[in-house]
Amino acid sequence: MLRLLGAVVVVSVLASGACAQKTAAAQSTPLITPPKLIRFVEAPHPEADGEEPVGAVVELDIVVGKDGLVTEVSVARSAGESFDEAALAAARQFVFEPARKDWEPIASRIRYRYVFELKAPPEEMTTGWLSGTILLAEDDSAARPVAIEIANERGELVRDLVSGSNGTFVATDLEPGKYEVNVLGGEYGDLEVEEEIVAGQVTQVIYRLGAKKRAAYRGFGETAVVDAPPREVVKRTIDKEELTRIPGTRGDALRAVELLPGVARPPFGIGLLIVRGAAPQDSESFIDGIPVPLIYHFGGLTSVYNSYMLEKSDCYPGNCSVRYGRRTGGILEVTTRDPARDRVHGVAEISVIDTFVTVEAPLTDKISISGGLRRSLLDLILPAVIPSDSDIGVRQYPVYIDYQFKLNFRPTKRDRVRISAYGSNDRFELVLDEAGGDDPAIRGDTQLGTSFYNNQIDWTRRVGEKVDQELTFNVGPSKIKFQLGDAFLVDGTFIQTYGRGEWRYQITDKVRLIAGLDVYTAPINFVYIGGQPGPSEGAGSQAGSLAGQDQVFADVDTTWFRPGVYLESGMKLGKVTELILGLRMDYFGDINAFTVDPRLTTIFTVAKDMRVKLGVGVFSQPPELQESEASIGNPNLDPIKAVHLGAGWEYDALPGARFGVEGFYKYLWDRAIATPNGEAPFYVTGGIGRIYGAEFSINIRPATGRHYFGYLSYTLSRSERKDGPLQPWRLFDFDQTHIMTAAFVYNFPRNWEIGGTVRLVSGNPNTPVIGSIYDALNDVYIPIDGRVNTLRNPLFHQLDIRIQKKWIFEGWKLAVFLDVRNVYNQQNQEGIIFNYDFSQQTPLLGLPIIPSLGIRGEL
Amino acid sequence: MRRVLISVVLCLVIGCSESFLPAWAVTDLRVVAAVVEVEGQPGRARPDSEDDIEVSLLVIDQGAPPSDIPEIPALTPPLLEWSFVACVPAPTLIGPPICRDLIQPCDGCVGPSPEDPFAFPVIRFQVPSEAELDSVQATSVVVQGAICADGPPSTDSILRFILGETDDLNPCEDPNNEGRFVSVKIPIEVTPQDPNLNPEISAVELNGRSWPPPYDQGVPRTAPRTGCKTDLDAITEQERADHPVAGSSASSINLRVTPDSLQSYIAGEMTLTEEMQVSWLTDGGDLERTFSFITDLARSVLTHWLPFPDAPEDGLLVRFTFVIRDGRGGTDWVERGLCVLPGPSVESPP
Repeated sequence: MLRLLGAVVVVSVLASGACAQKTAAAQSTPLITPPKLIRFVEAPHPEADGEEPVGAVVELDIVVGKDGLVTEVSVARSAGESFDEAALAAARQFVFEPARKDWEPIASRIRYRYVFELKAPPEEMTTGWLSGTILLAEDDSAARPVAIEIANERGELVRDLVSGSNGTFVATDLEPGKYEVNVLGGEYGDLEVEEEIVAGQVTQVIYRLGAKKRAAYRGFGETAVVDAPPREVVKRTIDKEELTRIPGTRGDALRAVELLPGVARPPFGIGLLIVRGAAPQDSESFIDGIPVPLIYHFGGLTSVYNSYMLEKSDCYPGNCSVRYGRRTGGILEVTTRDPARDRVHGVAEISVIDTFVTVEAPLTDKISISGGLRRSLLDLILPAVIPSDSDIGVRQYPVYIDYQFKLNFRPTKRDRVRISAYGSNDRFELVLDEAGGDDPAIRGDTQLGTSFYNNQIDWTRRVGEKVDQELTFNVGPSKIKFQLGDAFLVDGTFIQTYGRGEWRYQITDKVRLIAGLDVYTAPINFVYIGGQPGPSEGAGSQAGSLAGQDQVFADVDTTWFRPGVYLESGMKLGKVTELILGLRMDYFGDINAFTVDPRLTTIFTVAKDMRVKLGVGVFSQPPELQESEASIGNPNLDPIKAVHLGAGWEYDALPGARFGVEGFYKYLWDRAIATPNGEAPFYVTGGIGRIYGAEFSINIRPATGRHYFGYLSYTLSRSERKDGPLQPWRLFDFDQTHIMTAAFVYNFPRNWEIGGTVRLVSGNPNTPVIGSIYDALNDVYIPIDGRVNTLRNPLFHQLDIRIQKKWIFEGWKLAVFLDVRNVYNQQNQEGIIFNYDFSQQTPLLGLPIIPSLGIRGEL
Repeated sequence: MRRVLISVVLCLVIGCSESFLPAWAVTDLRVVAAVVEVEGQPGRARPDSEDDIEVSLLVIDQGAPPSDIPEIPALTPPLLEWSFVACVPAPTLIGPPICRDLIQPCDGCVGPSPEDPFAFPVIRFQVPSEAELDSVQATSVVVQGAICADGPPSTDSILRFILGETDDLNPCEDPNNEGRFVSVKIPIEVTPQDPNLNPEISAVELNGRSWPPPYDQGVPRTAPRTGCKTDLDAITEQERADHPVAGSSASSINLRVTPDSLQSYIAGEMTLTEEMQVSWLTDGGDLERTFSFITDLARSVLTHWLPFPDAPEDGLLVRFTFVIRDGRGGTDWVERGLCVLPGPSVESPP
């Protein structure tokens, strides 16, 4: 015990030392990219009566909208009325690539020098040009490349062009006369116009696609307001344009999170969130700031919130803000999209896995609503697969349902109120007439059911010019029931009540202060029957029958009370450095313990396209329920602690490509570890861990248009645990040394979209079973594990593709998609299966090729 | 818990591997049951403190081929050697039992005795006193050790593993010998006034009729796997016909237990009735399943056995072993045999 205490003290000192290195702070400005002129319009040279033409320079102030078009233009320095008017007229037709702030387009004001040069008189031309720009009517952004057919009056095709990535095109040397221009706008519809070409002139046109046929779903809906500024060293975002388009995810937004750097691949793709070597229970998922008990339906097939109702998902792999507490791993924050305010929209989709429908509409100028409902179709398919003469009686085939409802209310310009309700219900019930296979315990009623129903209200208010307030409250029950005959039962009900208040005060231009309070309470009723729960991680092979285990019984009736307060200040120190200091304090009523977690983040903007970030912070987490519950665990455990060290570098090396490198180190202490042989008090505080690695990423997003995007990421890491002072270091259950992911999606003409995802990942560790002992009382064999996690599954590799074709109709559109997981049917090993006495073993293979064909209509 | 849930659901959804032989297929040396009897109290399965008890192990194997040496008969199972300890276990909830205090003397813990080299393990010892058991909060005693064919067991292999010296875990000194680690947990009786009794198999029927002789009471250890045809000469035509032939359809096997086998007992505040777990084992053909359960008033359970498609002319002897357990320490077993002859030949048309 003394040795244990010593280790804890040493670790604490180390952590304190790490924190003590917080020094000066700095401050940063966001990464600003100025607008870039992509379409210049030449002004006619003013002719002065009786005077020789002269050169001139007019200085203009131009306001460029975030769509790249000129919204305002005025003369800053005149060169004479005629020159001014000519320059103003020309400049109004300019098209820019908009300025960007951290990749997001923003409006900007620039000073532009319009120079009138004297040129030699051109030779008399006998032909004319047609020069134009193709924009999207929805937001006047440049359309992606489209085909343009130009036919003469006789109907002969004289030009067949493709517009550039910035939407521009030019047809030279056209004979004077009338032409029919046909723009094949794909999903935005075709456009037919007639133009007249005059010899010696350039006919300049702007075509806007989709004015009538536009039905693109993405792009409408409000954006979140009063967003908190970034406070993390690393925040990885998938925005709504990409959420549903990543191959291998069946269009599910949250499955795409697995492709981000630092996120490990869960076995079978079952949807566990494994971030930077942290156990799944060490990370947490939030929907609109509220923790949710589960984010995926069982099997990880689909997430519980409809992807078409999401705005974005942010993954914080480490060093997250003090806004987030009670976890030592990563955070997944899912932001839902506000309902559309322009008109009624909807989406309906059916595939072999499930079907859903969403609807959203404005009710008044200030109120809009949205709703969605999804149901799986597995229960309609499986009866045809399971033989009717089987010993397996199916009481309830696997079925999941989720729903979403959201009401947005803007009573004033300063206020926004959102009321939402969402939930999920999964059920699966079998009746095994006889013992299945070689395990006598697997028989009788087998049930798996999970559900949660969250009801939430949040009110965002701009209290003053410098103060924003956000209040959120949520309440809803969660249930889990998992039963294997009489041998195993988990039956629990949690009623989660969660409230958060946050106030953000911009004290000066350079100093920001955030204060927050969040309270998590949960009355819990929980029954457990089964073998003594082992450690939640590092438990070895976990092979063997339930029949040979001594049963324990727990009937828990308790209430978790976990309040937390946090304070954070952001300061800009000069033009280069931004310093974010945070402090979070938590109380865990279930173990009667307080924690204080200081955190520090610095962001150095070393160049306009390069930033360096550093972060260090302490994180705390309560033990799991089975670890701290008195009947099967130890209520005297300490909170688990971790210190995160991170350093990141971002560089916009090329337009549309951002490079990033992040290094991280995490040290864990006070982990709950199981006692030898499961003896009372079952768990003690004393485990430690270390996780270190580096993440390399390239995000490809076009500077203009949205006709392709991609991710390339590679993570090199090692995650280890030590289960007591005398134990050796061992690998974490999901340690994956190498994680390489490449995803790319491209929009082809005629509304075809094709994408692929390639993954190369180190196999998960596994524990060898080196023998067995025959248990004569129960007629089963008890496996004997070798050293924990000393073997590793072979390299995992997989290719997923997604092909989609859309058709645009009047007011709506139709899409057919094929999402194929594991295209070349690679038999990846996910685990090991043993025979009845553990003398033989064979690989447990992962999922085979899974094609999913679906059809979707969008209004 | 999370991994258990995931594994089970995945197995149910995608199906577990079927590439292994099922547990009912006897292909090598197996210990399949241990019957505990309390001296002087016939039928009792659970001892009280200070009771003298006898633990009998049933060891089986795939039928041995005929011996090449006439003087040395084929033995199924082969000659056995074992080394066990009787002990009071440490309070563990995970993994195999761990001995805390050895119980001595232990008669038959090491065997066989020189007087009877063909004997099966029968271990006798006295359960410690109530005070000794209470002092370590023990609710059971344990017999634990290894048994090997044709050679001595290696009693220190587990110890070597625990010390981290090796990842090998071989129960026998000669790794080429077949062997098994065995653990017999013997619960101490908690209701001496209403003790748990060993259940009893009352009958085993084949295709609805009595099991046909000559293996209706068991199979001699010296009976070789082939050549059983001559054993059928002494029985009637009808009894011979009751032996399924190779390639025939599945036969039903009905196992009955005595009415008293399913005892009622009190657990906590509830009165429960035992469920009888039946283990089906054979060294030839295909059994329908490994485990069945008797829970109904009929006190019987049915399964099916499918003969192999072909058999030698002089017959193939198939051994069956059926074990019942009441889940509280009570056990009974029976052994049966069938001589399977080739099926009728089908004349091909000229």
